[in-house]
Amino acid sequence: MDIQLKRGLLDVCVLAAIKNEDSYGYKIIKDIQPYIEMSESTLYTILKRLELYKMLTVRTSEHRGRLRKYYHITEAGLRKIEDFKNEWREVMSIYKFVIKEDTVND
Amino acid sequence: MIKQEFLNELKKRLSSLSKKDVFEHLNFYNEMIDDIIEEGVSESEAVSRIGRVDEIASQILSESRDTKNECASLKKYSAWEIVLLVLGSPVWAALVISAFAVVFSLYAALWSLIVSLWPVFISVAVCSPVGIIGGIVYSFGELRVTGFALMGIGLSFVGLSILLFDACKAATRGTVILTANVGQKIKKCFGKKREG
Repeated sequence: MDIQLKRGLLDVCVLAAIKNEDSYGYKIIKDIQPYIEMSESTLYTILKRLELYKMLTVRTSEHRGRLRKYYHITEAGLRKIEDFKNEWREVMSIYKFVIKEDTVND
Repeated sequence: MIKQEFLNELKKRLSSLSKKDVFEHLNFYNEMIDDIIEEGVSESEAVSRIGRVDEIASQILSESRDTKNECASLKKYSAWEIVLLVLGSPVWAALVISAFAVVFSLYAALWSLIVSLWPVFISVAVCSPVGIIGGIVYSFGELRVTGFALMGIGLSFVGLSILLFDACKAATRGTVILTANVGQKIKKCFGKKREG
């Protein structure tokens, strides 16, 4: 997969993983792994970038005697997911057109 | 390799990063390893699941460079653009400053108008009880007609002050809301530029 495309997809995947409930690093990777591969260091960079763009917030909570960071999606993060869904509706219609053209030419 | 060995080795390999970045990376991996161990896996197995420390360090350093380049490229202009900006500065800078000055003067004039309305209201509001009381006093004396006239003026000032209060309040609220909206739009404008 194209690196830039993958990068954009990973950002949205991380946001989707924390959309319905706050989550933490390892759980985010586990949730995303069936769909797209992502290393821990890539996740770290993505989380930092999304925090910088105020698409998520971070809080530290105690968990079984140790501290764990939880990530919470913001309004900006939810908008990012909506924008992605709208953009990909367009991409899907173009994809269907390309597939159709391929079938006709075959 | 156990967790502490992994973290020590990672710290050594990330020595070119800032202390803050190193600390945050180590915390991140420490937490990740602990979360894997919580699934019932041994410490050494958890560390090996994370991956090789040299590959991880290399990826972190590479991502860190990419992030820095991304920030730097946002600020980069071509040489030709810089020359145009410098040569054209007497024109565009003067225009920008004039535009700001005009907008600011209009804004200051609007606020001066709002601010000057309130003393008018206050003076009318103060005059109304003075007129009524003065009118009552005069009407018991020799200047009865003057007294009645003063009472009438005082009463009409009461009505006028009520109207003026509503008008001042509406004008002030409208101007405050306008200021807040303009401020938010400017903030969004700069926020979008930063996100881009």
